[in-house]
Amino acid sequence: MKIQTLGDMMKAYRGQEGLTQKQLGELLGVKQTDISLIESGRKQAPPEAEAAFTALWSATPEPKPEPAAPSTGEAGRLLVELMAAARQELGHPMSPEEAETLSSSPAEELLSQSVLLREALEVQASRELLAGAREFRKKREAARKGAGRSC
Amino acid sequence: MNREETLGKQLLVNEIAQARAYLEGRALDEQRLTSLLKKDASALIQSAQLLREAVMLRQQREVAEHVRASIERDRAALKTAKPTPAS
Repeated sequence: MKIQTLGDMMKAYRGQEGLTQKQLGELLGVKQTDISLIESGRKQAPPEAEAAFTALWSATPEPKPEPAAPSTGEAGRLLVELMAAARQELGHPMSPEEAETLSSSPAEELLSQSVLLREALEVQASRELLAGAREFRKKREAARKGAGRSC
Repeated sequence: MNREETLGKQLLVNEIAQARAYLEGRALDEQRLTSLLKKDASALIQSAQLLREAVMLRQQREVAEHVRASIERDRAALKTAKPTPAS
């Protein structure tokens, strides 16, 4: 699999070396939150951190680690945000851990889960529409009967 | 890079820019557009696919919101409406 971004390389490096984001951040002189943002493609690495990581990466013995999946970046983040909102509407809120896992999932996984959520939203909207229509019919009939009696 | 690839990348960048403008409510700046053009075609295809899906999901949510809002409107109208005389 092809390594595409510095964030992918960091993730792969941490995986191979068994480091947490916090530990890698300490090695590179940046915060854990920055490592998280760089890995998900939401932030550019500061030049010093990039240089420090390149040195670590070069010192890793061959074979170089490869990432589990290329980062889906900003597009993936936007989709996961919408998926979380959709899950909320469906009454099954997404936990932060789930959102984190989804954000690092391959694009195919995100796409297939999103399609299922769209279907679920469509079904829910149809149900609400039908329930609304039934309610109006009953109320109209009741109103007509009431008016008939008063005449 | 051949002409077809350049054209294809340009089309994908346009699609990505439009999708992001719709989803985020603001247009991409020149710098972001230029950095997108530097990405390889496979990365652009993946971003475009994900954003297309995000747009469809957002539209589905908007449809659901519209349905809910119109049900609420009808419900309110029914409450205020005078009883219909029996024919």
